[in-house]
Amino acid sequence: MAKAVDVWKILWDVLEYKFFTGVAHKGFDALYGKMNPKNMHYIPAVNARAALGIAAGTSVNGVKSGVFLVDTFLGTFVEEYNNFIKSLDVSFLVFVYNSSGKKIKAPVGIPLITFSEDNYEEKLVTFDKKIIKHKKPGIIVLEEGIIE
Amino acid sequence: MITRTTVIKEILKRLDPTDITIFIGESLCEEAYVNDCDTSFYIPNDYPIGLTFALGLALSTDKRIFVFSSDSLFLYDASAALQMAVSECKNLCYVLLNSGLYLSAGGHPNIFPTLSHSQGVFFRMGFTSFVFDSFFNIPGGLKEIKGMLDTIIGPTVIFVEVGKRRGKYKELNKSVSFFSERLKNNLNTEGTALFEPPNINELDFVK
Repeated sequence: MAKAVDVWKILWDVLEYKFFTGVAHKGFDALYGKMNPKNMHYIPAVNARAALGIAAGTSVNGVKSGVFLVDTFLGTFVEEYNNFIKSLDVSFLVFVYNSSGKKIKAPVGIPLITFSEDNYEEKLVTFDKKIIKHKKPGIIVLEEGIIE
Repeated sequence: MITRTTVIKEILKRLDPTDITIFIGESLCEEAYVNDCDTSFYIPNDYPIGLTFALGLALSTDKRIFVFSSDSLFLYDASAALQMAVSECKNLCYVLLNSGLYLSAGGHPNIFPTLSHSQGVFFRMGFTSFVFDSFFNIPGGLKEIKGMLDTIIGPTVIFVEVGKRRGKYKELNKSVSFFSERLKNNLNTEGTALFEPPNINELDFVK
């Protein structure tokens, strides 16, 4: 298992993600428990659509942003992406907690990786470069218990 | 009753050149596009995500963000307005053009006029609120708007009652991608958000 503190360090210090929003879920307990307001801003969103709207807005102005969503809201993300976010040409990270345990497939046109404990720093850096290059949001799937 | 085109035109004339304006809704965008300027951005569909998109912009810049929508859009997802209200963004202003009708869908009535105290609803959410109706209806009233807009501290909502009749409009002949690039060029990326972030340690869900 990866340690939440180490994951945050990569996000803050290496990738320079300083703004996060999302809808709380127990699957994110480990990451939420190690948030540090000295390093980041976090806005609790009223729903998934609001979180995606906020992240799209901050990303337009070049603020590297992340969104926390549970997999049941993946459909909302795809809908909002196709309706609006796609045309903005912005990149941000979408952390999706896999609550169902079933394999999550990448929606059409949206990059996706599944977080794994081996060599995750390099994978996150590569994925970040990819979504910035393609100006697209990218999904990082978090399986149950992968981060402690 | 005054048209949305006129209201938008008169407000735009009295904003600072650096203010960013966001318009949400197809017919509203077309009416605003008549007075298009470089700092305008259009979301030509009734997507509630537009309200929180404007909030995201406000969080990331020190420029003032004015977002225009119909009352119908507010009703479609009132929680987006709630998110704006609690944001503490001093640079965020929501201009709510209320007609009591679904103007983009045949002009059928909506429930906005039947809210017992619509201004109070927004005030209780956390907005400061102003009603601009009188400025448009009394002689010389428009002169007062500039002073009001200059001193607004958000999150604020401005109510203006508009008529059913459609004013001048112009079809958007550019894509959202074009407006997005234009918006990026007009935002000051060196600016900082004018809000106090919530203290996450005080939130219940953080261990």
